[in-house]
Amino acid sequence: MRIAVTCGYPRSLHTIALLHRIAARGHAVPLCLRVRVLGYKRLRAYLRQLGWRKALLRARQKLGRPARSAAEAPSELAAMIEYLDQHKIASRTVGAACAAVGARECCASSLNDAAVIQAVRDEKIDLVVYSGGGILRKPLIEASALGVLNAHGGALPGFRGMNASEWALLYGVRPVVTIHLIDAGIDTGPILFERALPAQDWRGIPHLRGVGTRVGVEGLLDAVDALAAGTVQPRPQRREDGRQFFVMAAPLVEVLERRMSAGRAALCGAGELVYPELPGLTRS
Amino acid sequence: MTLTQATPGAGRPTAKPTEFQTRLRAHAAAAADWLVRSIEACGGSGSAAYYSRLFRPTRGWAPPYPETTGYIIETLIDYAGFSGDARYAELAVRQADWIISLQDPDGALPGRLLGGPTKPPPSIFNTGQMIFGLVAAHEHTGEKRFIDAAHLAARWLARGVDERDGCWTRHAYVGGYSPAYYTRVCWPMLEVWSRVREDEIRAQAVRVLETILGWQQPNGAVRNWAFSAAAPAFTHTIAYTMRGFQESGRLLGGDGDRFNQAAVRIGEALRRSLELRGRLAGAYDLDLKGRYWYTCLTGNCQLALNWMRLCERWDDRRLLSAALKALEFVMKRQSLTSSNPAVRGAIAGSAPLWGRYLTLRYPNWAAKFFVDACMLADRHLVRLLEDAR
Repeated sequence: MRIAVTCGYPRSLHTIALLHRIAARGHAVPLCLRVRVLGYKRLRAYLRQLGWRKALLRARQKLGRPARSAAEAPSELAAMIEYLDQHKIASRTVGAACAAVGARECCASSLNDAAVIQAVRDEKIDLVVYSGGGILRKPLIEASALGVLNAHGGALPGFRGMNASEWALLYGVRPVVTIHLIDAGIDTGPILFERALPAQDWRGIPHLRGVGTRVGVEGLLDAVDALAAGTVQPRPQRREDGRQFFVMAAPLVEVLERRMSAGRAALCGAGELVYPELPGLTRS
Repeated sequence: MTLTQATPGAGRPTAKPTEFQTRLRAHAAAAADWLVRSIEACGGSGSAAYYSRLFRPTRGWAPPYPETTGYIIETLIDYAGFSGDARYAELAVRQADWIISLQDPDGALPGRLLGGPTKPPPSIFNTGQMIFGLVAAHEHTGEKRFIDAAHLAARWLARGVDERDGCWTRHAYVGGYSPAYYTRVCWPMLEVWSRVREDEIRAQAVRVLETILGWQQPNGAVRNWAFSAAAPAFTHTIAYTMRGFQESGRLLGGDGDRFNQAAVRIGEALRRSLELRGRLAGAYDLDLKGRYWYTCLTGNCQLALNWMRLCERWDDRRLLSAALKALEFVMKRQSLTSSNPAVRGAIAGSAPLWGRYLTLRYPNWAAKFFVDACMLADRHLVRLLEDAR
């Protein structure tokens, strides 16, 4: 299969892992679709969602000097650094990873730019693997033969949107990563399968996210293989069945961190939704 | 009377508070004490409508406002339990006595501020809001005179519903205009009905609710939810409309589902606006297009309350998350350190202060809804922390 990988920022460790590992599994990776970090719309979205303090922190994390070892890295990144080391991947920038696997970097202010869509068509890409870069519009979703594959950090359709693994834990549900195809909605596309995160004592939300990212990368790799072999049948989800979540308010994050420190977050259920139906809400 | 020594959190055997809860309680205490000062500024009879050196250059404090004093009563009683300081409740009961002293023999209660030599004419909306205080005083003291006064007021409201229009058309804030936030008059009527079981009161309240329900659009917006027909609605009156629907729905049980749904539609539209834009607008038109250059802080607190009440009912914690964001926005704009005691702990009408809603003023109802929202948020967080133990 010919695969393109998207990328949200130049030091994205999971993009680096995906580029290397997809190539190592025998698939061609001719294209990496990278969005420029400092686009106006992107900055505005970050500021609105996170506030300027958190947005600055996020920018520093994404643009700053890359950590060289798992011990040196913030705990959110440590899991991925361990993963790269484990698979003997030396690249620490997406550019280096592209050079190593022979992928061309296609940079744009948005993944929905005409140039990106044209590049996907020109390279006759079979499948796009989403690894960050913002919301995708229909033309890019439909530009490749099989569509766009995504790892969502929560059970679908129950936990769509942002901070899904945190929301799951707040409801006492074991967090999972769902591998699905992207459609025009937010996390509403057909589901391939889900992978549970290991039941363990979380050392905080960054640790949870880091492990989730690693599980997501492995899930995406397996999904690529399964789609190539034709051994998986995507299962459609109904839009009205799920619920869209947004960024969790800081006081709830604090409660969750407290639960984690009390060792309660590991004692969650087997992935079933525990909340009752909410009549009348517009679910999207 | 000075209540600044009140100890937030006293008498509550709960998990160690989070950092946010500690801040929340400090902010709530400051606002509750500001409410006490607003009553002291009126000699202990009624709470000053607002503080503003621009609108009231000599005293700063406006005259007492019976309407908002009415619903501040329930806040002070609740805060007495929250803080473990009974003096807030004693002050509240004295305000309820003052409200009774303003009641006409037919049950009506006055509109506007009590600034002049004569008592202002009666008002539908304001009578409804004062019922809250009378009911709360009755619940707290068990004294019959408070529920009797509330009953009389509710009967006056029930008699005033226009047979043809299915709504009140007289004794309005703006002559000839029946606002959608009259749902918040139906709610206190139903509070009285739930205690005295007089069916006519329930019937007239439901009648008005049905009329206003007919004004709701598919996008959740409700015609006439602003102070005047043409203007965009401040989040203050939007939240009034929503809360009236949701609490009436609660009191009516299964018969109230359609009113609950109406509230959910409003709440969901505004929650999405907050999440997608990062904050609430100060006002929204009927297309839900927001005026984002300012925020109505009172509306933030009220919507936070409404969302948390919905969360209590359906355990949808997205609503709690939105409420905490709206509340945090207000906390950041409340001064805890001002050397002016009339500003310390106060909540402005708008942020920035020169925003359209209650420009350059600190209204007492902003502090009231802020304290209410802080207490409810704290209870939600306590519950979540208890789950974690």
